[in-house]
Amino acid sequence: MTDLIIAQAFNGLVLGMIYVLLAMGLSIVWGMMDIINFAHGLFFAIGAYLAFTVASWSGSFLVCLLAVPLATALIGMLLEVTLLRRLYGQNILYQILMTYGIAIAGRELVIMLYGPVGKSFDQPELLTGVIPIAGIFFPIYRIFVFGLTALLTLGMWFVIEKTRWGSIIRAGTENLKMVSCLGINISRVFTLTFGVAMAIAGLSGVLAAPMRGIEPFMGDLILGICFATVVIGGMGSFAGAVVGGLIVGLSQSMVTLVMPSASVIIIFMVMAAILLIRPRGLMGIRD
Amino acid sequence: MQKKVTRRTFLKKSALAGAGLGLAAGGFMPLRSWGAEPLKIMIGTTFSGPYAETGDYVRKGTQLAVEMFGGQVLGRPVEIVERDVPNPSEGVKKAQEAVEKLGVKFFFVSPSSPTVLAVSEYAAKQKVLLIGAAGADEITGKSCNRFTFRWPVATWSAIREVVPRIIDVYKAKTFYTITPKYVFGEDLLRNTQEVLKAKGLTLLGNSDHPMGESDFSSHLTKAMAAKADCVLFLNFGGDTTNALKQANSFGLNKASRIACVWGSGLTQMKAIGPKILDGVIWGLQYFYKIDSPGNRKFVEAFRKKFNETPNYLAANPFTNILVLLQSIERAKTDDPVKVVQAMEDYDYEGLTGAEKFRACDHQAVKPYYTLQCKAPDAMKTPDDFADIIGSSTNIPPCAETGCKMS
Amino acid sequence: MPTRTEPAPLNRWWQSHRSVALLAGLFAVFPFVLPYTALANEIMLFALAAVAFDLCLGYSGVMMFCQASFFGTAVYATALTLLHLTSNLFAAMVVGVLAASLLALVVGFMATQRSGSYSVLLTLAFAEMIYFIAFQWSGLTGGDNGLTGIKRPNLEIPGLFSISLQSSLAYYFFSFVFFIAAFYTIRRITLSPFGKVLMAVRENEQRAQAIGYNTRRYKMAVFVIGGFFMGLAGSLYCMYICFAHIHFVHFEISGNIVMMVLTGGMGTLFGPVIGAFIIVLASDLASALWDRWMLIMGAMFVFFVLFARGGLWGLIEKLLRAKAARGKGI
Repeated sequence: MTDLIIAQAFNGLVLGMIYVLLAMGLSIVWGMMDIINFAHGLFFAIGAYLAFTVASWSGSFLVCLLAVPLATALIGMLLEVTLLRRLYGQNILYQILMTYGIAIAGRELVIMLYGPVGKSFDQPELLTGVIPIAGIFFPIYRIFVFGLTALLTLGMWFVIEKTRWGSIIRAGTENLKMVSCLGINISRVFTLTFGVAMAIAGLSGVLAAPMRGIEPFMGDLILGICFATVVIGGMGSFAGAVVGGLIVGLSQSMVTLVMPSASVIIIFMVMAAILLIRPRGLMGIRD
Repeated sequence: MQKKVTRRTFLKKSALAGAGLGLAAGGFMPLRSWGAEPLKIMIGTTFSGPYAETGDYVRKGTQLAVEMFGGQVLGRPVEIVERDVPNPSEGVKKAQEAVEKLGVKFFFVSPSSPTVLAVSEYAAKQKVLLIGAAGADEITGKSCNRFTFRWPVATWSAIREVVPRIIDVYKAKTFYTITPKYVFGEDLLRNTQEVLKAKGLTLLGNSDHPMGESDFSSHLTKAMAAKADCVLFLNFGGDTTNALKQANSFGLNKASRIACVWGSGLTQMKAIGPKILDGVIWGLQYFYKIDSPGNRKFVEAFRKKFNETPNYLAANPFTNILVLLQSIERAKTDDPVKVVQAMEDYDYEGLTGAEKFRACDHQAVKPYYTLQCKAPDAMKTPDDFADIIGSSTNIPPCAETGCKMS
Repeated sequence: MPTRTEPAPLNRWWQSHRSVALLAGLFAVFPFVLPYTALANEIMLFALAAVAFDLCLGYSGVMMFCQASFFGTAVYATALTLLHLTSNLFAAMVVGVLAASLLALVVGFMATQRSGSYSVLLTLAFAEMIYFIAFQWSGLTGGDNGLTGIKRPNLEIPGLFSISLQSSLAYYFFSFVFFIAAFYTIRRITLSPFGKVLMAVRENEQRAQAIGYNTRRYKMAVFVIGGFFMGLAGSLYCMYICFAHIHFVHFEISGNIVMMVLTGGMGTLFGPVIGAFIIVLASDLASALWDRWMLIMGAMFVFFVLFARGGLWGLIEKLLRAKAARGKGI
């Protein structure tokens, strides 16, 4: 039984780290730009599909890891400059509707380009195989994903805590007006922030592709969970994204052991409870 | 935001002489060709989602059947109406459209059991003929009706061929199952439990997953922790492909032997790859190596037309549409009631040898096959994934199916 | 749809009863001009759900993503009643509609505790919960198998009369009565003092509060009314398709209803009907035209949010008003 718990906890951690990456971007965009991005899941899917294309051109997973986030960042920034920017400060409803529209159009575009049938994405040769530790097999690729995402999270933490851009983001989440009064070009910061958020979303798509395959609806599927993660952790909070992601990932895998049928329901129950009792989330700064 | 579906529908005319040249005017105008009115058959299948690969092969199998039959029946061109039916409600809606708008009287629906069951109910109400290609027992069991036929053998029969064979070959004493949570998976699981119980063997555990599952990690982890001699995959299509690939990354094959009781055959094996498949046992309704005159002819014609070797997904509509057209010809009318009578107990030479649809429950009497995959270097051709290691025809006696024809 | 120009502003023209009569006339001929009756049925029932949601979104500014929960709950409740309790048509409808309204009351009570994005996310959380509960509780809902064996009841009072509803056309006109009655009722609500308060809440909630309205209670009422009519649509839909499936509580249905309202034009009641017409027809014709039509829908969404928040109806209105103004020589 302990074997099972340990192995399952590891699965939950890896899954949770993917949620952490997705939640980070969603949370920053929401906290700072006040946009609930219903197209966030789309970028997860785009990341995975671009990885498929890049891998079949270059044959290298490393190239995917570098090129795809760059591409999704560019697409994201383009979207911000042309469309999202027009909605800042307006009723939240319009932002929801627009990003929802973008999500639909984007998904259909993906289907047009790649077809409705899913693609399978093989693990990089170098990372295939398992490491047995005390009778439990740990897939090398998943260990790699965990390590890489952990490093990336640390890196993001450093950027947000120690760099100028990070301090603008932190300040902007708390009081946007104040930041613009200080003479900072907010619109450039927004573009950059959205780009970084989409880069991370794209990267999580690349990392997830070998574990779960690629299909056009993967973004829709994960979006609900991402919202739950951000709500639980606390909107706009970096620490919240990390805590929320790990909680959601681990509880999903642990509940599966006891009561598989409740593993998803429980996440949305927690999400609703948090919204009702403590809307700022576990680590959030403001309501 | 669970599994989603898209609509992808096709209107395709396989009709040859005289039928062509009709262009759908925005869908409002019913198609009229010169001369005889076409006889329409609706093909409801999936072009998206976890069973997406089905659609393409159903189309190919149907095309070939119509072509080999001569493109005409009762002097009327045959027209194939293709519809994407990713879920049961879409299935019923498309069937309504076909009956009300297009005047279709013959249906072929594949591969999801809930969809077949839902359309079957509608077909009985409208008195139109349905051939449902899905596994759930009740299609020709307690939910059977006079207007529904089914070629693949039910899960009852499949399990009674494959599981004993697995016990034999793998010398397995303990089992673990991974099952999709809907009528088809539940049937496979129940029958597996029955067979194992009869042999006095143990099922250590089971893990349910929704149709279209993307992440099998927790199911696989549980399966590995159970340390069973054999892990049985009771899913189908893209689910099985995904599950097997992920099983490989978790090293499941190091802990247990692997078997899939309901495969779709060649394309699926290609998608998974011979390295992962080495030694895996499969249960199949059809494999291109079946040695019968009917099958040799089919494989040759299919290879010639599509430049690939056919799989179960194409074989099923091929043989069914052919028998349907023969029955219409023999009934000398397109009245579904008469065609139903013509199809019942009609002995024909099928892909697996002599076959027929039993009158008592409309189940085809045909064998189920067990295959074992080879090591990659033992494959003589790119299609040579596996050899048939056994087959048997187990159809429950009419009295035990639970089917009451009304 | 109006084709001739009117000197008076279009709005006033539509405010008379003639508009409802025109709508009724339009829907009365639908089954005869559309390719098949089932399609007309589908358009009408989704138009009903869309109009109900328009009352929430367009008139009260209440956004939600749980339309499918109300619609689908009514489908299940109606189906279960017909399967296990009674074959009485009205009993099944009452149970369906009540179940949806009750759910709307619960969800509304929770969702209105928060405002803005938090409220929307609460509805989303509930929608997901209901979907997964329906999926897992297969003993009741049939899970992914759905519920089959539902028989459409006839319109009858034992001993008095019995009208068969088994044909698509008969059932269409049965639903038609409810559709027109529901549309008329919703329209009356928007024109009533209650409706004016809703619009005040939409425009500026704080101000409405300051005047002394308990805005939360109004928003809850909107949830319940919306849930009631979406439930009515679901209940009628259940007996039309004679089948219940988790697809009906799926997010896709909610998304489609939102789409119908936005493309048609929110806050217009007639717009969502046009939206439902276009979207249901487009998905049906996809086979003959282009199966990626949703791409256009998505793009239209973005376009409407940016440039034409009144949707198609708003565009028509704008054109007509401009024409009328030119006619007057202004």
